[in-house]
Amino acid sequence: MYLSRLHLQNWRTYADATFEFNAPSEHRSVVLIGAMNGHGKTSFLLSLYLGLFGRFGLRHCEGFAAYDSGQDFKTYRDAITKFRRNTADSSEPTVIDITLTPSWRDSSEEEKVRVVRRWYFSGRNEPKQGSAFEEVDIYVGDRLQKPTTIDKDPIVLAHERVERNLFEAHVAPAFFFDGEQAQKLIESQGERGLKKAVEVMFGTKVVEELAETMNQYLLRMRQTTGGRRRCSEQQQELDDKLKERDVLSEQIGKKQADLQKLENDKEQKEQQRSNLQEELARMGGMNNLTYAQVEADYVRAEKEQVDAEKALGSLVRQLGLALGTWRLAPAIQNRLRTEALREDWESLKRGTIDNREKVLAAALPEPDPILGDLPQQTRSALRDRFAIALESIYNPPPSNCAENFLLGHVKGDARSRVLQLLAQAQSIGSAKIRGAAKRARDARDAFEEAKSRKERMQDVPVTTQQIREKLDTLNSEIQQNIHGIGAIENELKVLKANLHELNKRIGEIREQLARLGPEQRRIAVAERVCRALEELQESLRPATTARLESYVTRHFVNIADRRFRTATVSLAPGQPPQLVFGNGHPAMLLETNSGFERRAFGIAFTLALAEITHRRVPLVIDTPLGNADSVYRPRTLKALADFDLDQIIILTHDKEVTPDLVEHIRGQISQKFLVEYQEAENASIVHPDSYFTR
Amino acid sequence: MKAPPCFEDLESKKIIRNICEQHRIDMELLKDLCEIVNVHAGSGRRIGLPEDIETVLDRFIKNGRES
Repeated sequence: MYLSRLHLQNWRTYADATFEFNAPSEHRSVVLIGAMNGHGKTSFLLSLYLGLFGRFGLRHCEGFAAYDSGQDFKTYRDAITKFRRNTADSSEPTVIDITLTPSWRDSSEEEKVRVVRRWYFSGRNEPKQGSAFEEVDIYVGDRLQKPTTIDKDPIVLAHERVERNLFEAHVAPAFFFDGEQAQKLIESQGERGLKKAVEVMFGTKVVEELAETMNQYLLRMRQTTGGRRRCSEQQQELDDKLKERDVLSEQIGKKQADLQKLENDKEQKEQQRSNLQEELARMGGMNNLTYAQVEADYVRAEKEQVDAEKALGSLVRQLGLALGTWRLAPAIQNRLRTEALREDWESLKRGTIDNREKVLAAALPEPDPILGDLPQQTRSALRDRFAIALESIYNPPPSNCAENFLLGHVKGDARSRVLQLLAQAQSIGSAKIRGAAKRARDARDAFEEAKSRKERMQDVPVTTQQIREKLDTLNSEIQQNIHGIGAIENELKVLKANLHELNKRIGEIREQLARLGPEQRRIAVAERVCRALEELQESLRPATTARLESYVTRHFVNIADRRFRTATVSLAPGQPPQLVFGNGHPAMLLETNSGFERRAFGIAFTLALAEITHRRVPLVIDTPLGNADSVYRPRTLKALADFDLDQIIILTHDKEVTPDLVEHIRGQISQKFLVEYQEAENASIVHPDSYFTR
Repeated sequence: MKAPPCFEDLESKKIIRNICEQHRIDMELLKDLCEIVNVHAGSGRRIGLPEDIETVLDRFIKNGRES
């Protein structure tokens, strides 16, 4: 929500002036209003207190802190007369017309609120008497709000309406204040006042009022409605029984969890027991064998292993060449066979040629009884023919014999032995080796088993004893589990029976309550509401204070001198605000600090209040920096501009927020005004979009 | 009508909700009753306040929010 318009007529130095404020944007929330001393800054601020809250806002004006808005009408009339422009025409009223408009960040339910307050004076410029003096019109949206009762002072009614739509009068100084006033706020109201402001803004005050209203309602209902006691007692019993049932249900849940745990534990132990029993059974089987048997088996296995390994070694040695060449064996065998054929062929041929003379002599003897006495030439020709015929017997050589000798060094018996070895490698070599290797492997396994058995045999008495001890422990634990499970099951039975009874009773009470009249049922609910509200007030108060302390600390540390960096603001009950230091320094009362520290605290409190209450109320500060030094000024100004509010209106003179200082927040300024008192017109004139120059 | 800020604030809402649960009422009932208090405080009239409270209580009972 932001201040969208302020119209002042015959108000202090303002004759007839209007401030029209732009709707704030996300990053530009600061409005600067420059005015020299006496030109209209404080008048602007006072107009907000008195325009919005009338006499209920007077005590926030300087010099009226002790004012009692309930009774003292004269002081109020005098004050307004004093604030009225001294040259005003008596026929014209003094008017403050304020419009607050929801910003883009407010919910769509929020509506524009306009408060128009007029004060009337007589011909001698004296306040009119009675109700003729003051008049207030309130518009929500654009609708004029009419009084709903004639029993009440319309000004009081209007005031309540303003407070309802905006905020309560006594928290106004938390949002509209001058820097000095921020200090006074702490000094005059202290911790109680500050926290009260939070309670109002945070809504806990409404909770208090509701508690009071509900108690009154209950009292009235009890007086007018019969059977209160019955209803109340039944409702109380129902509440008690429901609480009892919650406790019982929780107990049952816990017992069921315990039961489940015990059952799981038992199951695990039973599994362990089963495993141990199996192991023991295996041990028992071994126990039946005599040690001698195991020893004999061991010796036999050891011997067999040695024999098998020897046999394998021997075979490998025997078949060494064959094993080495068995892959080439078929080719070598073929070659050797063809060369053997050639050797045979050559041998036969050579034998025939070697015997040629004998064969010719036998075929052509001399003298020849068949051919007779042939001429020598003929005989010689016949011999040649025979000789050629004889040789032609071995030509050509056999088709499968080698053409020459590649392996000519392997002949005769040597060739036969080689062929025999190759045949062995082919036919039986690999099978024999595999068989021998298998035998060796089996023998080795058998030996290992015999050896292991022999070793286990030696440990059997110790191991079985250990297993038996473990089994005894497990059996005992399982027994305990069984007892525990039984006990919990019994408890559960009892608890469930109780729950059943309780549910029956709850059902009965509910039926009885349902038969009660509507008044009694309302009383029952109202009583619960009252109890809840009572508890709520107790719980919310400390929580709210703790958060307020935390938020104020954050803003204060951000603005104040660096030496307060470790400080924490404490708003302990019954104590004035203090600064507590984490580094062991003694706590410091805020009121004993310098003026600017108190001012910084006031600003920090305001920011914290806006933050904790989520109220998007405009912040209006008259001279926020005061006489702060050149380090404080930009820091405080920046902290204000950075704060997430819709609108921050800063009223300043030319030596405070100087044009140079404005540069620090240039991007966050939404609007500037310059207010000047013009003697010729005897009035303050508002110049929009103007400001002090260098 | 907006609920008081403490009903919107996360931390205090948690506290309110817990207490409501303990007493078997709900936050809506409290919000509605706060609204009535606000309306009557703003208008300055007390006439009709008990009736407004009864309307809210009856709505709570009728909607079965009563345990």
